[in-house]
Amino acid sequence: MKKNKSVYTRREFLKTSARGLAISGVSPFLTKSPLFSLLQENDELSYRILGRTGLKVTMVSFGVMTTDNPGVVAKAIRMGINHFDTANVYQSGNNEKMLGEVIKREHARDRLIIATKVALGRDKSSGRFTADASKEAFIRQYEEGLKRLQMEYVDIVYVHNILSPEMVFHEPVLEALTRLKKEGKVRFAGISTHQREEEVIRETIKRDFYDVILTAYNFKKDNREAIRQAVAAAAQKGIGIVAMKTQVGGYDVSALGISPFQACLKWALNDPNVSCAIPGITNFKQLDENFAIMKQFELSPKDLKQLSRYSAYLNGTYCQGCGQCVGSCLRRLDIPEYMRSHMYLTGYKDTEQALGLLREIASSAPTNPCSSCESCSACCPNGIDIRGRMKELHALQA
Amino acid sequence: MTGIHRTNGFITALLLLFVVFFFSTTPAGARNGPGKELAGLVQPGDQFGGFKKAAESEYYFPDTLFEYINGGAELFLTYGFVALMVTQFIEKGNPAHRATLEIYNMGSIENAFGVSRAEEGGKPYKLPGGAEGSLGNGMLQFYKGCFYVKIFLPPTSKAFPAVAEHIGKTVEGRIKGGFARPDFFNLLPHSDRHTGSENYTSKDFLGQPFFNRIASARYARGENMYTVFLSTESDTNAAENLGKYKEYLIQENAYLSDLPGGMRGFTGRDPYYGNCAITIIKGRIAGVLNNPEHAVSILQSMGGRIDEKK
Repeated sequence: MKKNKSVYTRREFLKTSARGLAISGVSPFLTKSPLFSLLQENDELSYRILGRTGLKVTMVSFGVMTTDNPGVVAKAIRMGINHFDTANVYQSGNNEKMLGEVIKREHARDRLIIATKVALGRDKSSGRFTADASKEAFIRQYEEGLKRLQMEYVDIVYVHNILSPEMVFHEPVLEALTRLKKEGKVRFAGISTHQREEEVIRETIKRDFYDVILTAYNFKKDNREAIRQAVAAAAQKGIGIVAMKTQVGGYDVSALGISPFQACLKWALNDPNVSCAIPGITNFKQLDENFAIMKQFELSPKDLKQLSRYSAYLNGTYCQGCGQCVGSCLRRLDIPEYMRSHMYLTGYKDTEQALGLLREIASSAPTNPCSSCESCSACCPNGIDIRGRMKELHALQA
Repeated sequence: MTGIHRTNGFITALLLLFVVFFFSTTPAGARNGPGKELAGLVQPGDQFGGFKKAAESEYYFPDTLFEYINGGAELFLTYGFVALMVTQFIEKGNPAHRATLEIYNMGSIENAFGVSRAEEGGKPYKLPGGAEGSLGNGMLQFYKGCFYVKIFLPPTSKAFPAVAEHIGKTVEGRIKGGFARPDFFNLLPHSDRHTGSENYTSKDFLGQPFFNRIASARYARGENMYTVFLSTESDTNAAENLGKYKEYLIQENAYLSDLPGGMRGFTGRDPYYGNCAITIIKGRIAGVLNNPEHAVSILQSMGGRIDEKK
């Protein structure tokens, strides 16, 4: 790892961050926390301190999640990325196994910060753990993960996917984590949240138990302002914040001539209370692109333009499958299914899959069902151009 | 007249409300297509060794899969996920004991195979109808046709694996047709192949964003372990993609030489995957990792097999 060339002072850091935020149109939200993260930088790598854990993490860390390419992980280690995030459920444990094997091969355990997660049974309707979410189940799952990772301990263990504030302080989980810490198998405990983030974060800071929060946080989230404030409150208490889902689905928008993913990452990292982000990385190109922003993470006018175009794409693109359009179509076509086919065609660039789905739909509908209508009455509450997309699908079949 | 118009308007509005309500409360995909196919795989009276269906099955689609498995969803989306049906079975008299059945419609046999390989754990397992998968750590998983099936119980449950096997066998029987592996594996060499080493990677093979839909298998000849890979279909961009890989190797100072005998392609020392000989056969990317001595002959014989298939 290269030697640090410079260390930002707190004042310099505040200045840099404020400038970035002003450009982004997000009001500056600088905290007065005494535990405020420090930023260190060398030629290529930038670090922040992960709250009271004191861990120095690369601002761009690695969400291993979907990666099954050991070479990509190995390259990230060699580049100096020092924080890798996995979970026991990813690829049914094979993700932990792959990560463990690469780290062993690279002889890198001592210089890395490894995070994993344990998921216990949850009841979605009540937003609570199920009866089988016991201390023993947590410990058993965690220890199986340790074996797969071939490690004696893990630096951060998250309670995976907390659905509601009621789940944050589940006694059996707290007991399990306390025991695992005592035994030296866990250094720091955290929670991960993908929904009701603000409430979950605010609940978490009520007690002095968790050291890290891993939260979904991106420029498209409707509740991003509420998350931002909750994140600031958590950072004030010394809790380290890791951002995920920063790439908003990572849709392939190259056909639009935009590449918004660096800008997405910068947006999250421009919140100085976020210590690092863990974008999912599955190939060398993504790795290089994400890595590069550590040199320059201020949001430029060009970045803002990219975000704005990506946002527009997401607004008019993503069919939620709500089915509300069906009633407005004279033929009562299953429009969400057609829109899914269109997503395969334009989003995934997978013509075969699009055609395959059209063939499936055709088993219960004519090949060109719109041909008998002179005008289209179908409308989408979210503004998707149903008529235009149906035309494209018909052209594909022609 | 006005009264009749009003009545008609009222009835139309009621009908419209009904239609909107019906369509907004029933998941679109569960009404037909993939949802319907899945629904037939579990039946109302299903009971397995004292485990009874707990509630109506839940359905998830590409835009809602995150609600069920959040981070884990991305793997499935990468492999062309179409729909998921989740059914819980609860043990009579002991509601804390649950068996969960997940059936994924992956849209194609190669996707079902690919995701099954990505998630396999425990020991290799064969169901009575021939479907292949693995069993262990509280989970039975297998694929058949375009379906990927997972059944899990708490690993400490005494009902495992018997109940999982019972559910698996029933579901396997209900999936129409016989079991078959994706047929593109027949194009890879057969001799020296490690049983069960076949793999299908939907994207980013060798960490390269332009190498997608690749079948591969591992081989051993004496002490030498190597891998052979092949695109599952011909691609008009194959030459361009080969060029991109060459560029990558040159940048990494890892390019070695063109293939001998006028064969299109080259060899290089991939910094993360080892020696690689790579070519194009009938529009498909084909290559051999870590067997420089025999790479050319392996690629030539693979070309012959693809010709025969044509």
